[in-house]
Amino acid sequence: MSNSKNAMTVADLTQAIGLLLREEIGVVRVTGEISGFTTAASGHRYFTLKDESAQIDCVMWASRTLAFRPKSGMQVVVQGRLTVYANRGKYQIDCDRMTAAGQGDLYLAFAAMKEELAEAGYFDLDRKRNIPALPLKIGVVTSPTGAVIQDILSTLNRRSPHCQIYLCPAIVQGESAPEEIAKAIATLQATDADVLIVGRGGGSIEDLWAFNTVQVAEAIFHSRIPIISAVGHETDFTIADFVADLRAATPTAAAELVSQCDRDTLLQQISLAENRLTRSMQLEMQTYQQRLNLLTNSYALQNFGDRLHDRAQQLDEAEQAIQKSLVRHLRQSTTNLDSLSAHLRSLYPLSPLQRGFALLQVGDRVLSNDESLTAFDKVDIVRRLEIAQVKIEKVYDRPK
Amino acid sequence: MTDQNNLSFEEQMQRLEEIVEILDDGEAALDEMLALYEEGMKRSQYCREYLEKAEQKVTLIQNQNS
Repeated sequence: MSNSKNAMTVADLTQAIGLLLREEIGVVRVTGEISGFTTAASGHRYFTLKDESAQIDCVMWASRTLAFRPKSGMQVVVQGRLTVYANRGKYQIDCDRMTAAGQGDLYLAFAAMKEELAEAGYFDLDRKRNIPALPLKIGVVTSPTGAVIQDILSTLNRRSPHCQIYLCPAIVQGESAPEEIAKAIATLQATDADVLIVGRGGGSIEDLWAFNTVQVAEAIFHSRIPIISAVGHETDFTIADFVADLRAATPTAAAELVSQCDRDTLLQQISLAENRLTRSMQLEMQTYQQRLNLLTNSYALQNFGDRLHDRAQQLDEAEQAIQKSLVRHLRQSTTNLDSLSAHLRSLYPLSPLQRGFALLQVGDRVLSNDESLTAFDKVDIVRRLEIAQVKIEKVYDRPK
Repeated sequence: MTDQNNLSFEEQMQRLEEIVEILDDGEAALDEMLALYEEGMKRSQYCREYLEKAEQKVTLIQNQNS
């Protein structure tokens, strides 16, 4: 009893420690890097201030104003009193003020690496490849346990059950994560995957840190297969997001992106294509059938026999016509010949002699009407039956 | 059809669309159209069967040297 009478209660000791801390140390100004910054629903902020070798819990009540949005990784200077949180038996800084003191080392290193990768062309938009619209084989790099892989598999199974999945498990958090993720991406290069999903569920920026490493960035950069990054963090982009060909906000969103053409839509498309094929083919055949019918029913083919008879008849008629016209021609020619020869006969130079006329001839030449007799001293008078040789005594013009 | 194996599923679907367009136009000669029709039906059948028969298959691929 006496032992327990001399002993302090935990509460007493804690109170004593609290008093000591407050009085001996009191108000402090401390610089360090923020880690695990959270704002509770109440508006109170909780975080850890750390440097390379030590860390201390901090609280900043909602009533204290802040000129900036603190983030994990930031280097800050806080001012406050050292207090004890009796319930948990831990000491913490109750911060009145907090000012940014440049950015934390981790953040600076991250910024430097990001800049380096950007300069090396890792983030170039023109090297981003299109994600195939209809991928059939999908590689997945994520934790083999937990909700993420289940979400991906169930989303794909619901929308595109025809997809084949290559799951290459990797630890996605902690020290070995960057190497595991990078190796998994490299391993999947040997498969015939059409697209890769690389990701994990949401978490603090520290949890996602593997996706901010050079190792993972390089693995994504060198992938010959298009990659969708799916780090479950709506607001912050990781390096992996910048290097990947496409960023999805969550793993489920990534699964939806690769199954945009779900099976039912595809089957519908195929049926539609088949219907169109058959319809246009039927239409085409109908057109040909119609043309064929038109031809077989045409007058030309239908009345071919009749037309042959017609032709024969025409031929006969033509023959008769030719004969007729031939006869007519002959007759005509005979008549013509008769009249011509009569005419000819009438023009025979000696024919006037029949009617008692006479010709004048010099030697063998018949004198024309134009020739004057004054040029001759003798001429022959030729009659039908006799010729008289006459001497010209005198020539004078005939009175008119 | 040997060339069906060389075309990816996506390419097969594209080819199917292409054939439908050509037939819709109705500009091609009849024998060409018949050949295209046959090809189109074969491709659509292939795609349909692929989709209907395939079931989600998850292959576990172990990380090399880890």
